[in-house]
Amino acid sequence: MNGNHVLLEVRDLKKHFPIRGGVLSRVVGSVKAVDGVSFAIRKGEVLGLVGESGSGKTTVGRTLLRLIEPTGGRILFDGQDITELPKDKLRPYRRRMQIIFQDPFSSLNPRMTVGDIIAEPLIIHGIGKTPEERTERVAELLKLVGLSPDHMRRYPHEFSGGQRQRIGIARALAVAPDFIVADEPVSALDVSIQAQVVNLLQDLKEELGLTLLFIAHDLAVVEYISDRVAVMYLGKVMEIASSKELYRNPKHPYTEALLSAVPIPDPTVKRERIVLQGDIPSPINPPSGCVFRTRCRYALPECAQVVPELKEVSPGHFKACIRDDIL
Amino acid sequence: MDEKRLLEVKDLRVHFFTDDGVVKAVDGVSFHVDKGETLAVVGESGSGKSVTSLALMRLIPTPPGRIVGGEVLFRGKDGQVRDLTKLSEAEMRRIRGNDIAMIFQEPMTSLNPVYTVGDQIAEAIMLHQGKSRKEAMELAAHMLDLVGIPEPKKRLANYPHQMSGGMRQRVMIAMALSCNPSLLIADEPTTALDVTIQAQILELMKKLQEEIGMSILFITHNLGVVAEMADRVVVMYAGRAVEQADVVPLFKEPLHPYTRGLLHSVPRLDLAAEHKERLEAIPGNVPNPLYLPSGCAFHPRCKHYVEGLCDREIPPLEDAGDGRQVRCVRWRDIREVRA
Repeated sequence: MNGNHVLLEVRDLKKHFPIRGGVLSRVVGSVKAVDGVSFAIRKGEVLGLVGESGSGKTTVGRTLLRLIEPTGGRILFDGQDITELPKDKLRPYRRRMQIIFQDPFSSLNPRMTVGDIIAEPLIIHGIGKTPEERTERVAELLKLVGLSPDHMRRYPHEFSGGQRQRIGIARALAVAPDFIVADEPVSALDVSIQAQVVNLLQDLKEELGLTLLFIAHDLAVVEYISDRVAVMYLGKVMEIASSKELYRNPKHPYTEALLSAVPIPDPTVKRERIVLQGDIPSPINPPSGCVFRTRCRYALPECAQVVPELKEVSPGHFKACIRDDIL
Repeated sequence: MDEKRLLEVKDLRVHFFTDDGVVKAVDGVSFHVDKGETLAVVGESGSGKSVTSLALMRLIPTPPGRIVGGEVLFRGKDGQVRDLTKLSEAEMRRIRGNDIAMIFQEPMTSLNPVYTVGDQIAEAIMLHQGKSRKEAMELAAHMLDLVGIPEPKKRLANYPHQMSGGMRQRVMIAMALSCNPSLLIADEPTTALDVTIQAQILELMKKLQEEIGMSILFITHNLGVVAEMADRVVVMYAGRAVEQADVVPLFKEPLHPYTRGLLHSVPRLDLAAEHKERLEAIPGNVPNPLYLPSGCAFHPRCKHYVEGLCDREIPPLEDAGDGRQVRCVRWRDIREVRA
């Protein structure tokens, strides 16, 4: 396998949630949570997906694992179109694609021991025939994530937030997946613990050659761990570029504003801040044309006319904005 | 108390008496806030930063919690200095909202869902300033305008659920400032908000502070927000203040190993493109408040830990010059090694 091998690709992915109303619960509208998202992740790569609440980043992560069924578009995993695979055919792919959740408190069953939690995916996928084999594998996984095999017999409530997140990571790694969706894996953690988990993910990625979709709202964390970054706003991708390029040289007005809004932990750094006016519009009734135009300081009347295509502005750097004369 | 001083907290102790034992949530915290300045209190979960702010307002749920020691000296609008821990509930009620106002992290749960925002803002104004309902509503509209809510007169009739998170936080700020408090306590006011909305709210708070001249006690875990907002900083760990300094020297040369660890564990967006060093995480976990480590509570996670020195006695808060304070017996050695 070479470095250009695409492991996962989504083309024009859409997820519209119906809104029902009236006595007959008829569909009266839809929330366009994800509205035409395309990207590809190469093997061994970390793609960061950033956006504010309501941008659709979490829905993208769940839809491409088919934890939520897409409304439209295609999902390709290792060259195979898995968009419409029936459940039994999907299972082998499920083994290869795992997820880590944000909340380490609600994503672990409080009635199961840590050993049982981590062994469950092994049983489901028929890995490790005997209980002894499975126990051995669980012990190995616990060590891998920096916990001790003795922790196997304990329950989730006996662990701190950071340790629970390690358990969640061990569970995701149990079936030796190729691809992991990490959905806000550090945002519920304390600052000092966040760094531990970020470092762990980075080590695991290198040791195991993992491919990651890292979803987060914290731009600094995403920059730190990602090779490439996609910025979402209101169900659409606004910009994709290598992490270095995107942060140094943002081309989309939304990315520019988002970056300037992050407070820098250094009181001597003074920057010009672009304060966006208003709130993110409702995804039930998004603005026509470019969805960002209502808050954009560069918006022109033309921006309301057409939905801007994601186009390449320099090698590997894409933006969805009709204005090439800015930034 | 010094003329320019608005608030002085001395050796504050708040303990919670639970079935499992005594939790010393705040255990000997001292700091002061001057007129017109912003003091940030930084810490992680369990550091006691929120309990400190609730204690100032005398809002500790009793039982199980109780202020077991210390003084909270506050200069009221009338110029008189009072110890808030000694006031009766009726006296305290005159201070709350009027002299000291508070905004919280979650703007949804701190607003009443069954009253309009106009009614909720007007309530405080009528209570503290003895104004009629009509006058109070006019002032409420003025306040909404001040915090940048478009069409303020119309918005008075809105219920909290009709507003976005950022709007609700603006309403909270309008409510808090409606009686011209001299101190605003902001407990993680932007933590639940998106970064672009956070930027709006921080900008607004700075602008209002300039116009009104109030002091702000800003409680947060976000070091970026601290750097942006604070004049001075208190760093808390496991119920104790471990370091106190002006914001620039604190970020430039943190003296306490915990402060240093905290600053090094956050990825920096501004340095990001230049070099990617591995994050310097602080090992271990935040200690269980029921079983705090002996001596310096940070010693099990500290790389400068010396057996027999750090784990015996709680280190005193030492004066480190230039108005700085640090609670670490080894701060001088550590500073020399680094220099």
